[in-house]
Amino acid sequence: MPQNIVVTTAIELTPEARGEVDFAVSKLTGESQVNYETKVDPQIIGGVRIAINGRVYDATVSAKLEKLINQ
Amino acid sequence: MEIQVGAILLQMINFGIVVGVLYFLLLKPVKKILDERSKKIEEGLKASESAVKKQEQLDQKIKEAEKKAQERAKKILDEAKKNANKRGDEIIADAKRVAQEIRLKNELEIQTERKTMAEEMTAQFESTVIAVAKAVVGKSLSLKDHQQLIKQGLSEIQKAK
Repeated sequence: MPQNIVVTTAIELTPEARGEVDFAVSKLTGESQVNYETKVDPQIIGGVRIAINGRVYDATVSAKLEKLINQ
Repeated sequence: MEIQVGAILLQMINFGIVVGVLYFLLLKPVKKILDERSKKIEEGLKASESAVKKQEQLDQKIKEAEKKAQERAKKILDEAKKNANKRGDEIIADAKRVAQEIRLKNELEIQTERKTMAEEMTAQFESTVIAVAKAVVGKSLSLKDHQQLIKQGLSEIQKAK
């Protein structure tokens, strides 16, 4: 079953970073070969956000800042 | 002068007869009439006494009835006063309750308004802090910092899963 995967970062992914993202997404989905869409959003400041079929794993600097302020 | 004994005796007999006739024909009916009159007077007096006695009893009953009526009126008046006082207390209690409800409602509205204002201020503050932090942090991050943050983020995501 094809999965809808979106990876968001603050800058374009370098080849090295893309390799790490491939590995992480494979572990998250349990599939060895995965296709995903990449997005660049400077608003997240830094870090990465991965959305798999609507489920969001958010490890961005902006999310951490918001979490910190909301505490 | 010669005394005629026979005539005297005859006169005496005549007198006795007249006395006897008068006794039976006049004195006895008169006595009867007098007795009846006395009896009637006596009955009239008795009736009068009875009437007086009845009048006294009637007066006594009227007095008792008046006394009862006064007591009843006093009781009704007292009851009315008591009810009036009770109703007055109820009105005061209702007024106090309504005043308390209004006060609580106002306090609640004030608290809600304060809470809303505080939330709005907090939201504005958060937005401002986030915007400032993004501007400051975003500009100061190098490519290496970004790479490191992505790597760290991927590690956190895998651990979180």
